[in-house]
Amino acid sequence: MSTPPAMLYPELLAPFDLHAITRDGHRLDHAEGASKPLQSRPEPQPRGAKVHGSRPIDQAEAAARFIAAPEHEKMHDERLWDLRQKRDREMHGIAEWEELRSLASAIKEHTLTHLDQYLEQFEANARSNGIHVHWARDAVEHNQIVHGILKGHGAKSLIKSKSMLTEECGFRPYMASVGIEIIETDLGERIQQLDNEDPSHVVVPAVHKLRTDVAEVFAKTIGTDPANSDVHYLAEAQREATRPLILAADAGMTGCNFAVAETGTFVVCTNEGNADLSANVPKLHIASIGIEKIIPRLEHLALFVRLLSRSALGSPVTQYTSHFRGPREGGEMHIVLVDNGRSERLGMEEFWTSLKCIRCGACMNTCPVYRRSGGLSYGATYSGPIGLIIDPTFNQRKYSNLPFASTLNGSCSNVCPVKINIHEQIYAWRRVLTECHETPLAKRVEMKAAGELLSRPAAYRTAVAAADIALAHLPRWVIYNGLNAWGRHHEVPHPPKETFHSWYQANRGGKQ
Amino acid sequence: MANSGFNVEAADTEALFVRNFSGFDYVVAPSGSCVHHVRDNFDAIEQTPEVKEVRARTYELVEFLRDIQKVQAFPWARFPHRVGLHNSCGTLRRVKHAAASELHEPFFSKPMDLLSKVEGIEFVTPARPDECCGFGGTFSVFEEVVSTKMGYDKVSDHARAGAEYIVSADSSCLMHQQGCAERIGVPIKFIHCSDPERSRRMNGKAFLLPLARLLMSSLFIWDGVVMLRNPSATAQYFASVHVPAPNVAVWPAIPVHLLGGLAVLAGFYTRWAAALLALVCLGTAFGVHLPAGDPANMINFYKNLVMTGGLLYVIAFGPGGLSFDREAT
Amino acid sequence: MSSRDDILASVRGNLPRVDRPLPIVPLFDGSPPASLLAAFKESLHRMGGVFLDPPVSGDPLAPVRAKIANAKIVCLTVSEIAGNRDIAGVSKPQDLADVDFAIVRASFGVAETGSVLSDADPRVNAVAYLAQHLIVLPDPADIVVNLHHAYRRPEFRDRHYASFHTGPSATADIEGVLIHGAQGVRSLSVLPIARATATSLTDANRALERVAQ
Repeated sequence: MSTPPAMLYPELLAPFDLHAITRDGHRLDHAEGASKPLQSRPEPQPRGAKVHGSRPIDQAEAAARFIAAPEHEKMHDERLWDLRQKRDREMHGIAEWEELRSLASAIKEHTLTHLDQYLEQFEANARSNGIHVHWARDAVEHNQIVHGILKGHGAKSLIKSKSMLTEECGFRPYMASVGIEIIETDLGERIQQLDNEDPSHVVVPAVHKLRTDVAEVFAKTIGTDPANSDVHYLAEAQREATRPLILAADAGMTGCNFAVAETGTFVVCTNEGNADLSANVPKLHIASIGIEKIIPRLEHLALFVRLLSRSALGSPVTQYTSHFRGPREGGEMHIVLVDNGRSERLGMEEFWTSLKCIRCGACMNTCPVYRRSGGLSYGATYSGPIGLIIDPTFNQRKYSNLPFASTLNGSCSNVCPVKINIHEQIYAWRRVLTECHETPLAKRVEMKAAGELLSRPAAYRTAVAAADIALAHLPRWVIYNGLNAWGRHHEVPHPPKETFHSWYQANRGGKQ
Repeated sequence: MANSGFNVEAADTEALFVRNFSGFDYVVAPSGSCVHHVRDNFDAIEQTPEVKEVRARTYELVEFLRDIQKVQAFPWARFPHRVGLHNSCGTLRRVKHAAASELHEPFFSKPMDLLSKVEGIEFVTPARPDECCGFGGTFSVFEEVVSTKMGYDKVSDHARAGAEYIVSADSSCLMHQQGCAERIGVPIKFIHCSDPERSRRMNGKAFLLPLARLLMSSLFIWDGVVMLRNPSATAQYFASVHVPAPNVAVWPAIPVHLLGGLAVLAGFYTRWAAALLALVCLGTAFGVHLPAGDPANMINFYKNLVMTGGLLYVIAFGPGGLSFDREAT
Repeated sequence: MSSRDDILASVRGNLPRVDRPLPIVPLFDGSPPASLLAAFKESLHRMGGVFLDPPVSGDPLAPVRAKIANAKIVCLTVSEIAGNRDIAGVSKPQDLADVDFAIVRASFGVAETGSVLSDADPRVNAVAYLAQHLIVLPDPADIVVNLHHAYRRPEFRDRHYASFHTGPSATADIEGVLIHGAQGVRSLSVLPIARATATSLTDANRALERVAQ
C-alpha cells in the first residue's frame, strides 16, 4: 500500500529548487536538509510562552498564538514532519532497526542501574589521559566551576558548540553577568543567541523561524541587508562574521553526546564541525557532561551513533563524530560532570527511564502537538514529549500544565531510539500532579462531578437525554456561548435519534 | 478522567462497568480507546478476580469480528464509496489494530481486512495516515485550539485525498472530526466502521421488508379510501356491528386506517403507526368479529390476529430499508 | 563532603533495584555489500562528499593535483604532494586560517556511512576544520563495512582525538535549506590511494630531489 508522499500543505512546495545541491543527479538532503524545497511568506514571528517566575506556564495560550501565525505554523509543522519521514526512510533501510532500539534501551538501563561504578570508571580513565575532571551538584555549581576555570586562564571570550545541558544551567546569562563573552557557533543557536531567545528544539534550535525572521535578526546584529533573506547569503554572512571570533577566542566549550567509561572518551556529534573548531582552535577546551550520558564500552558507541542521527534528522550519521580522549600537545582539557537533579530522578520508580534520553529530538519531530505549538510554547529548556516528562522534575509547579499538553497518542514512544515509554510517563505524571493538587480548581471540580455522574446510571441517562434535547432545540447563540469550550472551534455533536440504551431496550427485551 | 490524571474519581465508574459486564463471555465495544483503557489502565479499583476477568474479556469490535468470530465475508454489504480509514491512536498503538508507521514491522490492518470484504469500497490514503486527529479526551476541551487545528488538518488531509467518508472504529475521534469538518465546511461524512458492514446491498433480501410493509399496509389504505369515499355507508356498517357512536366513530377511523397504512408503507414513524394499527386490529377482532361468532367473522377474527402478529414484528424490528425512518438515522 | 562524594552518594542511594543485564551487541555484518569501496562511494555522495575516481593509469594523485592547481595555500600532512604551508612549521591553529586546501591521510573509512577517520597531526587538529576545502586519502584496503567494525579499531584507544568526517561541514538550520561550508570546510573530497603506492611516490619524489641538487 505505497503511495507517493504527499504534503499537508502542498502550497509550501517551492516551484523551483534554485539552491539544490546534487550528486549523481539526486537532490541531497543529508544533515538537517529538507527532502523537498519549501517556500515561506513573511509574517511577524510569534513569541514563546509568557514566563512569570514559577507560575505555571500556560502552554495552551502560547500554542494558540503560534497557530494564529499560519505561515510559521505551517512551515514548522511541514518541516518537522519531513524530518520524521526522513527518519522512517532510514529505518526501512536497516533490517535490524527494532533490534538496535532494544539493545540501546537495554544498555542504557544497565548503565543507569550501575551508574556509580561507570561514573568512577569514566573519571579514572579520563584522568589518566590527562583530563581534569570536575563534579557539579547543580546548575549554579556548574556555572561557577566553568567560571573558575576561565578566570584561572585569564579567558574573557568563549566559543561554544550546542549543549542543552548548558541551556538547562542558564549558562549564558550567568557568564554575561560575570563579564565573559560567549559566542555560539552552531548556526541555529547563534541565531537564537543574537535574537535573545531560547532555542526551540534540541537539534534544530531555530526551526520555528522563517528566513525573513533570520534576515531581520542578522540585519540588526551582524549588518546584513534586511531585504535579503536568501538562505545561502545569510549562512555565508554568519560564517564570515563568526570566523574571526573563533580564531580570537580564549577558550572553547562543547557538550557531550556520549561518554565512554571504558576509555574515558567523550563523543560530540555535529553537522557543522563547530564542536571541533571550539575544541581545537583555542588551547583550553571545557566540556559539560550530564551524568546520564555514560555508556559502558566503545563497542556500544556503534549502536548509539547508528541510531542518533537517523532518529534525529533521517541522515545516517552526523557530518562530524568526534571522540575526545585527552588534551592535544600544549592544550588543556576539562570536563564538568553535572547532576542537577539527575540522581534524584534515578530514584523515581515510574520516571527513571527518562534518563536514557540521547537528546535526538525524534519525539518532538513526530509529536503533532509540538509541531503545531512550537517549542517555545513550553517555556522550558526541554520541550515536546521528553520535556513533558522531565521538566516537572526541575520545577513541578512551573511545569505542572505541561503533561496535559498531549493527546497520549503514543507516537513519541514508538520513535524513541532508546524506547522510553514517554506517553505512559506523561499519563503517570498526570496522576502525580493531580494527587499533589497541581491542577486548576475548575478542572478538579469538573472531574469530580464527572466521576459522580458516570457512576450513576439513572443520573447519567437523564443527563444525556437532557443534553440531547437541548442540542436539538436550543438556538445556536445559546449553545455556542463563551462557556462552551468544545464549541469555540468545533460544531457540537448531532443528538442521535435514540440512544443505544433505548434501542437495546426496544429490540433486545431490556435484559439487564 | 483517568487520562487527565483523575484516577481516584474514575473508581466508581470503573466499578459500575465491572458490575454491568461481569459474567459475559465477551464484552465488545465500538471504541478502541475505551477498550485500551479497560484492558491496560483499569486500576482505580481493587483488582479482584471478577475485575480481571472482565478486563481480559473486553474486545474492540473490529478485533472481535476478525480475530474471534473470524468473519470471512459480508455478503449482504455494499458500500461503493471512497473511504478514508482513521485508526485512532488507542486502537492503532495499544489495541494494535494495524501496523504503526513509526515501527519497522510488516504492514497489516485489521479494519482494512474486514472492510475490504464490503463490495465497492475504495480506500484513499491521506498524506499523514496515522497522525493523531487531536481528540485526546479532555485535551479537546482544555487545549481546544491545538486540538481543533489537528482536527481541521486531519479532515482536510482526507478530503484532499478524495475521501467521501471517514470511517473509524473509534466514535470519539469521529465526533471530534465531524465537529471540525462542519466548522470549517469540509463536506465529508463520518461513520463508524460497522456501518459499511451493515449497509444493505440491492439484492433480494433488501427488498423483503419494504415488500412486507407494502403488503401489510395495503388493507388499511384500501379500507381508508373506501371509508373516505362513502362515510355514511361506513357509519351504517359500524352501527350494524354495534360500534358505539357509529356516526362519530367514522371520522377518526378514516385517518387512522389511511394515514396509519401510508405511514407503514413509507416507513415513517413506523413503529408508532404499526402499534396504532395493531390496536385497531385487536380492537376490531375482539370487539366486532369475535362477538359476531359466525364463520365469516371468525375468519376475520383470526385474520386480524395474524395481522397484529405481523405488526408486532414491525414494532420489534423496525421498518427495514427504503424507509423514511432508516434514511433519517 | 566534596561535590563528587555527594553526587556519587546520591546516585548510589537512588539506584533502581531492578535487574538489567548488559546485552551482547552483534556486529550486524551478516550481509555485507559486494564491494565495500562502491558502497563507501555511494554513502559519501549521499552525505555531500566528492569521490575522486582513482586514475586507471599514470599518476595516482592526478585528481588531487588537478583540484589544487589554482589554490593559493595548500597545507599538507602528507609528503607525497608538494604544498606551500608545511604543517611542521605551524605553531598555532590561527596560522592556518588562510589555507585553501588541506590534504590529510585517513586511517580508515566506513562503507555504511561514507565516513573517514582523518589522520590528524597530534599538535594541530584544527587544520581539517579551518581550511576552506579538505582532501582525504584513505587506503581502499582499510574500508570497514559498518560502525560496529569501526569501533574495534585501535585508533580509538590510542589517540587523544579521533574524528569521523562524513562529507563537508553542513547545516540546514534555516528553513531546511542545505548549506555546505556552515562553519568548517566547504567541500570534502576523497581519493582512495594505497599506502604502498603513496610510500613509493615519496621515495620517487625524494629521488628526484636528490637528482636536482
